Amino acid sequence: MTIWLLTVVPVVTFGQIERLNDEYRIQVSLDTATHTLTAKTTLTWTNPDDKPVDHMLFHMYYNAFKNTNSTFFSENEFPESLRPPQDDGCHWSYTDITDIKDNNGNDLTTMISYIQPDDTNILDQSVLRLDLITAVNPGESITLSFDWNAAIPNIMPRTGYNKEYYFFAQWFPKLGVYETAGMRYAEEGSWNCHQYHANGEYYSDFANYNVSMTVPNSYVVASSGWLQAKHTFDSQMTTWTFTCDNIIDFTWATSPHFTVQKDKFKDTDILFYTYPYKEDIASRYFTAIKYCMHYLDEKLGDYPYPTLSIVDPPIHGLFTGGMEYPTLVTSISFNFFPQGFRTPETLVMHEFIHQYFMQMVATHEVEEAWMDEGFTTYWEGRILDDFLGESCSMVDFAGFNIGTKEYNRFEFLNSEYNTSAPITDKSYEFESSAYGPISYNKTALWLQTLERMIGVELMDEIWKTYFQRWKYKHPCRQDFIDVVNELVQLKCQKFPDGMDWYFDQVIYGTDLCDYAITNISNDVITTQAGFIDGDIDCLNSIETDSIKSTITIRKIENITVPQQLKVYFKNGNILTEELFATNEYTEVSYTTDSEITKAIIDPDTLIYIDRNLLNNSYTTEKLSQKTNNTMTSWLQGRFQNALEFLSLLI
Amino acid sequence: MSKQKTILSTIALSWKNAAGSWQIWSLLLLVNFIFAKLISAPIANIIDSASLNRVIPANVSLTYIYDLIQNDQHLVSQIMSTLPIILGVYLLWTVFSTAGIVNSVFYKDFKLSTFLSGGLKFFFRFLRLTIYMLILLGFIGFILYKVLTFGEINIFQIDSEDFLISRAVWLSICFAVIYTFLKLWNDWLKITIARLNPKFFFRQSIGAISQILNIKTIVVFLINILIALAMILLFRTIGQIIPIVAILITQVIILARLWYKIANLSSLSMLNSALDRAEES
Repeated sequence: MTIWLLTVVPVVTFGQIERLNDEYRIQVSLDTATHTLTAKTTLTWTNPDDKPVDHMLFHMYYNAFKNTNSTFFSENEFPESLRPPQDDGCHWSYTDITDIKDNNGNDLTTMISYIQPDDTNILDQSVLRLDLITAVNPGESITLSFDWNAAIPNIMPRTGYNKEYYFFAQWFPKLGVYETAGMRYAEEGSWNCHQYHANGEYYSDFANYNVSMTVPNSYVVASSGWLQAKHTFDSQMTTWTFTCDNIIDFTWATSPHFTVQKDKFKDTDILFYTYPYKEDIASRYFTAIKYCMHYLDEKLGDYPYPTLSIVDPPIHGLFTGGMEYPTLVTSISFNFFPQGFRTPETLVMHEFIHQYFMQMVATHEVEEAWMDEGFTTYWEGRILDDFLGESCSMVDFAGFNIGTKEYNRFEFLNSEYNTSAPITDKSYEFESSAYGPISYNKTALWLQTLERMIGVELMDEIWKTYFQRWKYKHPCRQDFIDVVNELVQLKCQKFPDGMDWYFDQVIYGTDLCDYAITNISNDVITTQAGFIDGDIDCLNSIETDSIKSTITIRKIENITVPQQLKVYFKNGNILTEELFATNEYTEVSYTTDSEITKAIIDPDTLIYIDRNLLNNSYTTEKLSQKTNNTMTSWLQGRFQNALEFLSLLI
Repeated sequence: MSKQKTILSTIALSWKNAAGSWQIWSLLLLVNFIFAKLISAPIANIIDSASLNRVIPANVSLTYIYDLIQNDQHLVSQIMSTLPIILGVYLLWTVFSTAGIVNSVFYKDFKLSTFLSGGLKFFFRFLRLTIYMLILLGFIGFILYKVLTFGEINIFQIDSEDFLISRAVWLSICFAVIYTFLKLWNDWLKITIARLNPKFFFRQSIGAISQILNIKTIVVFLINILIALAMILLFRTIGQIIPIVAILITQVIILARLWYKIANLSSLSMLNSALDRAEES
């Protein structure tokens, strides 16, 4: 038996006040007939500020699905075809606190109001403000006890029920994050609590949870944390009690059809929940997740929790798939999913990496989505390419291969919105189609470029330092930038001033990067002609053995990065030099006794963010002819086959 | 025993005819090659223009293809707009050449002149037949799609995707069986048109339905398909084992498919003529 002793008490301090985890005790009962929850919560919060706090803010995210007036629905651009049927009964939801008292016995029920910190939609009720009768003094705690009930939404994105499948995310009144002065961007202590938006995810504080769910006997519960007790108290209902410390959210799912399969990585139990018809996919998940856990274990640090639950929902619960929650992730697969399509592996790895970036290193998913989604996409590319091969880690089917990193590059560069906003925008400020390419793919792409520029060893050290320094805390972008600069200045001679010049362009800017070599000229140098130095003899120009060769480099897009230039001479000499081309056109000249035959800018493809790698090279000889012939033959064969196939119809 | 012998000898003779009709299959192969070149050459041009003076990577990858398309979007859209025209013309050529093959196998004369005169003689009737065939295939496809999506499938309403997958598998099998019979009927009708030379062929197309539902015809038709598949598999395997230039292997595989086409029509012609003789006697 393993006894788990997590570091429950955080060591973070802002000023003199120690920041303590919130403490939640929730008893919730599920009524599957009415699709409602009835619950009681006891919440203890400690004021980390050096001034009294007289109110508290709560996420009431089920109210986002309360009616069509919510901010979520006013922003929602979900395709009509994917909307659940709304015509046979009520599919809306709500959360309602019916009775709330503080530890002094004050009834605070009438002190509740709804506020809209992000917009002017006064009808939105996704953020609740609770005014306190007695302010909480610095370092002191308040314990609130409240009864609440909720109607569960019918298959809304990421949460709700459908048929006998229930997935509970953002399901309970959850405290916002009180940010003290100096924490992230806070100039003075205040609550950070956003409304529920159509685009974007969540932000909450570290807490210790003890949650008891009472569900019908036949139902199996998958949950954040680990099972402490299971008590069947009558012929109808069973209470499952889960506990978990030092996590930023708590999620659970239940269904009478769940089957559970188990595996183990070190001391962590991996539990896989799905419907019986999809059980066979378990081995794919277990293999992928163990590889991922091992990889991150080495590169960043231990996964410290004793369980990891993977939920693969049935098709009617598809909206809840592909999400990350503390110690519980969801994926998506379909029966008979071909092995060559790596979607299950990609999803489960991606969601697991989130355990590090946004669960343990708890960045703000709404205000800085790139710091969890982009970081995760970067790691997903690294791990999947390492696991399955660089050229086929995403698709390896019928001779058709795509790698994960190159797919990320394609997703960003191919998006028509790729320059529409800097990655620093809040998630709900992005145009809906820009959010993914910019937050996920652009970040991954510039991180890959950074890794190649400074070297993978230093990059690994940066990641490890960042993770170890900021785990169980809430860093912001400057905290990441600071770690990069600190280590780059210390260990990378190439960039003695750090990487701010790069971050200014890729984090705060919207420009793209494209360098091209547009020409190579080789001119024989001739001697001077005419009357030289007062000589009365007229000299004719004659050719010398020297050749002046000029390489023309064009900076097509605005991002400026230092590059290597590799120059090949006809006599076999090869020259490599550093180049920092800041103007639109840059000419590099050499005077030697041999012609230049070939030049390549960025020969090792360090600048992966470059939008066209093909124009990075130039050759005065047509070296590519052989490859061209092979490709033309390949195409010819494919089209001959296709045409002959077409004739079968006749 | 004699039925088996007849089947085997029909097949053997058909494949012998196919191999012997070198003028026809050479022409078919050449035209196939030229049409493919018409499509592949502009694409090769894109590669050339993008990689002219470039060092291009050794492996074709998404990165390479994407960068290539980025390099010359104008030419890509040009190719996309001319592709339907090339395919349309190739379809017409296929109608013509099928008419030519049918004429040749019917008269057992595999000279190019017989092939070309057959193409001219039956072109419009075969074109009509092709249009009917495409309409029929479209109609069957539509019906099968309706069956696949029967019951207003909403992913939020179904218990699992299993029934959808098994429905798709069964419908694919159905389509394969229907298509096989449709193809047999279509080929048989072509031979009948060559034999009876009717202006309109409604009566013959009805008659063909009962005529193809004959064990010998079906067996010969299926064996010819199996022989073709075996040949393609054999050539593919040889191509993988022996490092022969890929383009040559492609030609051999295309050739096997052309031989099959000639052999199949030749077999059906022999069976059709035998039926004719039986009716006369």
